[in-house]
Amino acid sequence: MHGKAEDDWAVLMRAALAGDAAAYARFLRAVTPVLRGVVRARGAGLGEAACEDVVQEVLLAIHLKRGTWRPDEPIRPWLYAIARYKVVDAFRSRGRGGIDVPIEDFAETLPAAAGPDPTEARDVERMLGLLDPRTAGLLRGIGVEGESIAEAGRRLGMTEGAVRVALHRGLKRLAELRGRHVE
Amino acid sequence: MRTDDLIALLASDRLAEPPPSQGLPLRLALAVAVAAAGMVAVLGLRAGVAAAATVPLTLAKSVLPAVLAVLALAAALRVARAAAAGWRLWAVPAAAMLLLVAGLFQEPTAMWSDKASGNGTILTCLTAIPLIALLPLVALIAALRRGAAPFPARAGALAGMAAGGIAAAVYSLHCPEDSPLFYVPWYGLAILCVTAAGALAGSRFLRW
Repeated sequence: MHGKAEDDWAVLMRAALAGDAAAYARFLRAVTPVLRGVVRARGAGLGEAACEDVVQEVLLAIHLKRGTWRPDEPIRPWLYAIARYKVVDAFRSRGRGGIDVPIEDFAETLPAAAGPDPTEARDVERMLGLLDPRTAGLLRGIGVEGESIAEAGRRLGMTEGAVRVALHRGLKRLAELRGRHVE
Repeated sequence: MRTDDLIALLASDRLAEPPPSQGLPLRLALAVAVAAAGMVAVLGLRAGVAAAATVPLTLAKSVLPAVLAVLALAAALRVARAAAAGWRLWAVPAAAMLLLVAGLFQEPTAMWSDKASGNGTILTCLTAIPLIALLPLVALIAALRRGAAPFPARAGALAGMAAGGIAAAVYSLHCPEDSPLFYVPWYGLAILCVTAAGALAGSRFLRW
C-alpha cells in the first residue's frame, strides 16, 4: 500500500539532499497532510490554528534534522520517528503532556487538508518577532513575499552566500525559540 | 505565516547540519588520548603489559570493554539518526557472563571471594574508570547534540556505555587484577555508573 509513496518520498528527499529545492518543497507538501492528520486526531480540542502551529514545528524539525536520514535507508521509519518526537514534544509544551502518539498513527490516520481558512499559524509570527529585525525581514521576504535568495540579498545589501547562512541560522534560531517560548 | 510559506522558506535553505558522526573520530581519538595519557601519568602501566596480553582471560579484560565501546558507539550513532539501536550490544554482557563462569571454574571455591575483592584496587577501579570516561563522554554527547534521538536519555546512556567501555579498556592497562571474578563485576559496575551518567546527560542535553 505504501510501497509507491515510500519510493516517491525517498526519491524526492534524495533529490532534495542533492540540492533540488523544488523536489524538497514537493516532499514537504506531500508530508504535511499526513502530519496534519495525526496532529488533529491527537490534539483535538487544541484548535485548528494551534494544530497548524504544531505541524509547522514538526516541519521545521524535519528540515533541520534531514541530515540524519541516510539516502540508502527507508524514509518512513525515520520520518515518523522524527515527527512523533516533535508532536509529543509540542503537545507537552502546550500543557498536554502524556499524550500518546503511536507510530502507527502516521501510517493509519487519514491525511488532512488545510482548513478553509488560509492556514495561518500564529507561532512563527511570534517567533519572528523575537528574532533580530534583519533576520526576521529576511525570513518574511523569502517565505511570505516569495523572494529568491538573490532578491533578498539585493534588498538587504547582502551577498547570496551571506543570505544563505543568515537564512539557515535564522531557521535554527526559530526552532530554538519555539522550544522555549510556546505557551 | 501560512504553512505553504513556511515550506517555501524551508526549501530555500540548502544548508544542512552535519550528522553526529562527522568530525567525531578525530575528537573522540583526541579525548581518549588525553584521558589515557592522564591515566599513564597518574597511575602508570602495569608491570608486564605485553606479557599479560598473551593470557586469554587477561586479554579479555581489555578486549571486552573495547568491543562494548565499539558496539555502543555504533548503537548511539544509530539512535541519533532515529534508527533502532539493534541487538548486537547484548553480545557483550553475554560474553561477560561466560567469562565470569570461566573465572569460577578457574578458581577453587574457597578463593572466589578473595579473587573478587582483589588486592585492594576496587576503589581505584571505581574512581579511575569514570574519570577516564569523562572526556570521551563529553565528546560523544557534544556530537550527539547534532543528532535527532527520539529517546534522549537512551542515546545518552549508549554514549555513556561507549565512554565507559573505552575507559575500562584504558584502565585495564594499569589494572593488576586479572581474574574475571574481579574485573567482570567491578568494571561492570564502573561502566554502569558511566552509563547512568550518560543517561542523565542525555535527558538534559540531547533534547531537540
